Amino acid sequence: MNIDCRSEIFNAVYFETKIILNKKIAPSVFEIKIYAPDFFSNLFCLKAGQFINFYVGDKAMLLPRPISICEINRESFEIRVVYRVAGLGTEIMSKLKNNDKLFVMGPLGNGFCYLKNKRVWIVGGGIGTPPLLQLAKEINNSCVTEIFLGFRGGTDNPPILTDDFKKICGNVFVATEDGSVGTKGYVSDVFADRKKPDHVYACGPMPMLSAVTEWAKSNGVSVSVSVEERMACGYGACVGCAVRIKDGNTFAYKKVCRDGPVFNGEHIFF
Amino acid sequence: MSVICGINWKTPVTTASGTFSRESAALVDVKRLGAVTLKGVSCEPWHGNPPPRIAETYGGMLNSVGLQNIGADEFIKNELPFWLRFGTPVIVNLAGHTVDEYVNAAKKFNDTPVEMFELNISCPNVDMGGMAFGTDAKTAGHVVSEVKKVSAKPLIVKLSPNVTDITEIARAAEASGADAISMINTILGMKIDITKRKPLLANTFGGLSGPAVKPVAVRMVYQVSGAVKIPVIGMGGIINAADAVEFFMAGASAVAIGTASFADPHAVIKIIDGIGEFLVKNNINDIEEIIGCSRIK
Ligand SMILES: Cc1cc2nc3c(=O)[nH]c(=O)nc-3n(C[C@H](O)[C@H](O)[C@H](O)COP(=O)(O)OP(=O)(O)OC[C@H]3O[C@@H](n4cnc5c(N)ncnc54)[C@H](O)[C@@H]3O)c2cc1C
Ligand SMILES: Cc1cc2nc3c(=O)[nH]c(=O)nc-3n(C[C@H](O)[C@H](O)[C@H](O)COP(=O)(O)O)c2cc1C
Ligand code: FES
Repeated sequence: MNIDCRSEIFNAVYFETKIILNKKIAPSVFEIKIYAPDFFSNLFCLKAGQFINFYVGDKAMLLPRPISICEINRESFEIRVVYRVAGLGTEIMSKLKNNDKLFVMGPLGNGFCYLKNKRVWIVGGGIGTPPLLQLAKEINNSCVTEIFLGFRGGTDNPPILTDDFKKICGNVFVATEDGSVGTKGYVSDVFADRKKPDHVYACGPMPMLSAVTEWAKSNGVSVSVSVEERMACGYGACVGCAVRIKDGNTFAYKKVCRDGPVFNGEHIFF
Repeated sequence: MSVICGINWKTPVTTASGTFSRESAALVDVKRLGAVTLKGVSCEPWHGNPPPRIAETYGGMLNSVGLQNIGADEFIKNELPFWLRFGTPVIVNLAGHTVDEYVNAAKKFNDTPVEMFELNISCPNVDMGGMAFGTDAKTAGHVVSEVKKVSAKPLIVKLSPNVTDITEIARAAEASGADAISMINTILGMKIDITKRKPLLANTFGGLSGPAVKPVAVRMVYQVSGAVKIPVIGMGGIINAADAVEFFMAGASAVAIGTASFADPHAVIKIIDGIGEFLVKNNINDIEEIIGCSRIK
């Protein structure tokens, strides 16, 4: 089973786009829709798991903010992203209004490999769930899919996007650490006693990715994970976004923005 | 057109080492550049430093990449051919831990068609070598003369701003055979993550670049271009044409664009266009007319 569909092709474009929607969907979490026909020049290279650079800054704040693609609308050429306000950059984003213009670059990075005729799990944690929505849309019809979504819970960190996932797939399981919604505990508590899949896709905080990968390894299941690292350029020029990857008996630093953000979980040093 | 160490540059603008990659070449027309300066290369492959390697700061950024590179042999085989096809002069940035490593790196590129070498004795992110060579006039002079002995290409020496008197290092480089000076490399800096109460960069320190460093860079270019006869390639925080013009007026014969490309991948082309517009608007026929024009005699 080939779970690595890394492509050498670089077809990202940098252009000014228009905000069509910017809406709060949970405490500190917003969704933005942009009109981005320029991203659709090569449909095979526009995939779940890829991300977009948002150039929100000015001279005092130079670097773009990388945000994952959450949904791709091939009819209206719209892209949806979902982001959490984490600092100044995302705060500025949250104040953008309809028809405001801003520069973006994308699609960036290598997305998830779409499997066919397999049993797969999609495992998301917190603000790592958005990129998995488009993935679920792409593979739900060709794979037997079960989706596990974990959140901290409570009024500050309630589940997000669960209704969107449920519209696509009948097997969506939600867990919250405080038990406010769904099962109390971690997603791994939910999937532990279910029938093993052929493959696991995961995106979320590092400790979760590490736990999911550990589980997959000890159960002989392959796993792809999407990881984050601090970036400068976001397109491969600065070599800033390093992740430690197994390379024979030793290791090599790979670029999250260009070689990832999706990697074979077994290759990552957590 | 500008002539730098006998090499024709279409325009006095190049890329700053470590900020321009193949992907950049998909976003920018390389044929429009005066020269293309590539990321630091050493004899053997280097892993680089652990992440996080990037921290954004007010008006700039810190990096502690640590010259991760694939090594000269693989670079010559797999990377260089990509850059040679544009017809734009190629500058290879040479890195090393020891004098021998610098010398061997230069030797490896002697037989390639690259136009110029840039000797990086100013990287603040490697333990041994790098900046250690560029912060002492004697050691700087020694490594420059050893590389110059074997070098078949014009040799640019890239200086570190992390020194007390940069003119002293520049003079030592010139006396040891440097054909040009490029400056500045990044300024050693640090950022603390106040929630974790720890340095944000895994390497603790990193190099500061971007608009925040520009006044320091302009001052140093002014000082050095007054102290040596060889051309100075100025860089450090240039994000628009006006910034570039400042460097020319300080005494730079050419400029390099680095961090600006991360904030706007088209920056280098916009700056080239903007310099052209500035010259036309001010009836300047030749950029030479403004190089060093700010000097108080
Ligand atoms: C490939 C990728 C995809 C991402 N997708 C999403 C997404 O879909 N939704 C979402 O809410 N967030 C996502 N993030 C995280 C998001 O980029 C950061 O939360 C955001 O950059 C914070 O910017 P800020 O100015 O608000 O915060 P500040 O803390 O003020 O930012 C300071 C600097 O640190 C960087 N930074 C801070 N946190 C992170 C982080 N977690 N990862 C990488 N860089 C960071 C910023 O980019 C900036 O350069 C993604 C990150 C990466 C690398
Ligand atoms: C991410 C990054 C990587 C760099 N790598 C190198 C390098 O390999 N060799 C080198 O001589 N300078 C390197 N530099 C320094 C730049 O070439 C330049 O001297 C410095 O960033 C100042 O210019 P700027 O403010 O326009 O970026 C690097 C800078 C950055 C930001
Ligand atoms: S962020 Fe610059 S190389 Fe990945």
